[in-house]
Amino acid sequence: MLRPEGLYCPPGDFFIDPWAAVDHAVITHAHADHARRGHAHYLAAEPADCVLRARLGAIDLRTLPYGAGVEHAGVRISFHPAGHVLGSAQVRLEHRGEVWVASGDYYVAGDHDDPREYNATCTPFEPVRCHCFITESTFGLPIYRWQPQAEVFADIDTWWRDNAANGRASLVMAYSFGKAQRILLGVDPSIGPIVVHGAVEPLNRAYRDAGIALPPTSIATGIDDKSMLQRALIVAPPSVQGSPWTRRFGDYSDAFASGWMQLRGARRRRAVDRGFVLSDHADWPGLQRAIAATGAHRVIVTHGYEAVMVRWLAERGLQSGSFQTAYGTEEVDDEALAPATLESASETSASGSSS
Amino acid sequence: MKRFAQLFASLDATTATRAKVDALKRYFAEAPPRDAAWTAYFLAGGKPRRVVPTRVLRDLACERAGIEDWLFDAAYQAAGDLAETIAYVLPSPAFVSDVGLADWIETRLQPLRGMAPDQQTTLIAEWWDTLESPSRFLLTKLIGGGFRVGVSKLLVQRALAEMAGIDAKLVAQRMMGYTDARTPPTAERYAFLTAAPTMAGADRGQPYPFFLHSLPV
Repeated sequence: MLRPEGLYCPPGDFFIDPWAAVDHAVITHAHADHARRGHAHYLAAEPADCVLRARLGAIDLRTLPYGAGVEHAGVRISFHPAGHVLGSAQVRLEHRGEVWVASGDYYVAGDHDDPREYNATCTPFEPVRCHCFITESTFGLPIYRWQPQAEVFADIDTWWRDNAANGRASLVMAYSFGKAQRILLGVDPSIGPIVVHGAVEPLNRAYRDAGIALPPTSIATGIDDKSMLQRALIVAPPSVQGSPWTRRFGDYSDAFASGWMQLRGARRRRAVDRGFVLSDHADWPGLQRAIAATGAHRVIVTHGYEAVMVRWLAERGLQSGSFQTAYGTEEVDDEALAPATLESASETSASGSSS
Repeated sequence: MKRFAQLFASLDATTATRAKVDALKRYFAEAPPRDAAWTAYFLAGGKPRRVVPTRVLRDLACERAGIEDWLFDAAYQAAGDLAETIAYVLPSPAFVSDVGLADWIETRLQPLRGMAPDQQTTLIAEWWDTLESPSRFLLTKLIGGGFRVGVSKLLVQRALAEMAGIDAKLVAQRMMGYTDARTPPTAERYAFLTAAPTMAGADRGQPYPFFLHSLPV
């Protein structure tokens, strides 16, 4: 199943999230390390339509609603919600009674199912029964347990409110696709105006088109009113850190929102005033719960802490192995933003690839 | 402990001196004097003594989290800090209690010294179960003896002085011997640090009270 181009399905002759150009590509979600340019045909879940086109431009894309199946060379393909970002899906493959599910990236938090912990910007993860489950393992260590997200948003609100009261802008850095929208939907917009980087707004539009009620946002470049910026929450990709783009805000407090912020060392390396622990990936209990819910006897672990997860699963009597994939952290994602598809090409290139 | 953990997190989060002093002032203005006394002690360099060997803490954490040694090691490698690894591998607390720092030190941690190992681990496991990760982290640091924080004694003195509206040099003078392990910090000793200047004793500008103080001036 693993070829140099990516995860390959031999009977169906297609790839899942390939990293080199192929004929038929099945895409789990529109983050740039999973959805790349140059494939001849794309197949993805229906809610991913706008975001994929917003990021990849004109592509030959066919979509399927969650749960609907299509036959491709004797393999039945269907998409099931992964809860990671808008349109993210697990890919279910069925061939002669054998069912495989490739998770892509997914978000499940905590050791029991709690709707308060769902990612409100997309359809929540749904477990799919299968014989073999291909799982990500970005946060596959037992130190990664997400605190209730309501607490994280309350922390962001408090930080923003304090800054606003002191006439200081609040710059929160977050990946422009997914994390940014999750913050926008989670914060209390009554605290002040919300301003976004030019790379974030096209994604906001896609989310709004999909019916996600994000609060009103304006683009930073068009704002001359300094007093408004001093009360504002500014959402921008991590690459703006230390760039000229941030100078317009004068005195500001900065923060970074990511699951990696759970650790002190990571917070210090990031050198921001605040680190908010907010992830779009499953935490350790979430991974265990998701894997158990598939009922799979064979689990293949990809991108993240493969060795740890493989051993952990093997000790629990599961047949486990790993694939070395080219999926990076989400961080790759913002660097790889395609300037041509964004109105703010100059902003993106000016901020460089510092992350 | 929660207030102390919040202060620690704010100090840990920023490298800006101004932000650190502001966080300290906010803390000292709000905290009960008994707790503030201990906070000033630790931040000014007072060292908690190791009560329980780190190996014991590590094994206890594995047992409570239900994870094997190798998995703890993998987590420790990523976190790079034992107390932090322990704080996060443990399951979330069943309920959260908020006991002040002074009570933690005086009625819990100090009596821990000299107890039988079994008794110690039973208590520590119970305490872990009532604290959220940031407080757990600090408790484990205090028990394991590895507590350090990124502020200087000077910053603590500056924050206390700004809060009390007195000269930082005066606070520095009064702080002489404050972190001596033989004389535990108390609300009275803490209140003296920030009291209005008087014309008596050290306040008159005699900065070296030891040895000389008993001689006629």
